[in-house]
Amino acid sequence: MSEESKNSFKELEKLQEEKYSSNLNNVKKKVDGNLNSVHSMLNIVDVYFSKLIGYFVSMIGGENSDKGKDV
Amino acid sequence: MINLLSPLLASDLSKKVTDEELVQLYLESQNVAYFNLLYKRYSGKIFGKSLSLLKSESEAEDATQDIMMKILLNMSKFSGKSRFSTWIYSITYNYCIDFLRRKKKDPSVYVDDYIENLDVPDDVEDKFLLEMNVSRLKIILEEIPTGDKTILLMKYQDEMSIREISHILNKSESAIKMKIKRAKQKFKKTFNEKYKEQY
Repeated sequence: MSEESKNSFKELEKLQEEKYSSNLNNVKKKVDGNLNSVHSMLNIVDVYFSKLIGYFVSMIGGENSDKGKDV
Repeated sequence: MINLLSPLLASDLSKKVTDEELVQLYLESQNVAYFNLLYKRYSGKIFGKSLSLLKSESEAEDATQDIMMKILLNMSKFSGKSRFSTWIYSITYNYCIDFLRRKKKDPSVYVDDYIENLDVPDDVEDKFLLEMNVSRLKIILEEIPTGDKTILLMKYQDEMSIREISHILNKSESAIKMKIKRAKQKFKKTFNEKYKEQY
């Protein structure tokens, strides 16, 4: 006889996941919005931060290695 | 621009790749598809725990959103010393406990136990809780104080060790053992009060 140990706590968790799937769709939309904002910010920082560093380096008399590169 | 994996690749990955590997893949590529797989695995569980503790669907939705963003922004801090699920659940429980403390919605989560040193007998078997009818379990969990419910969910739903729970709640292991015993006693007492006429 196969005897898989019962765990009603896990069963409850599974039932809740199924019952509240529509709530999770709402949350997913909001998280996606936040996710887009975060990644846009990271891209902006990624692109412009190196430029900014280059300007500072130029200002203090160093050579800007980014000079001439496209953004 | 957000990169997306093909649905085929994503469904293939969702079955084979561990949480820890997905974290590594996300950190290396910043590809949102990897995060989406983690979201799919855990958002329901996070929502369920938040709903159990906060007792409000709208607050649980907001909590799930905030917790998922916390996870995303702190992913690089995941050291891999614990399971990824334990790390996620620790963020979830701490978020909900802080929320309840701030709102003072439930005194049981912000008042420390004053009988921590009393010897409580552990005469409630795990089997009693684990093999209970699910609808009854839900009712009893709704009735017991949030502090007791939290510790029972950690132990029996998330299958955390005493050490893991003690780290998350910042208490000694002996204090956690005591809290579990007390929570089980409370659970059984509530069960008996509710269903004793049937036994």
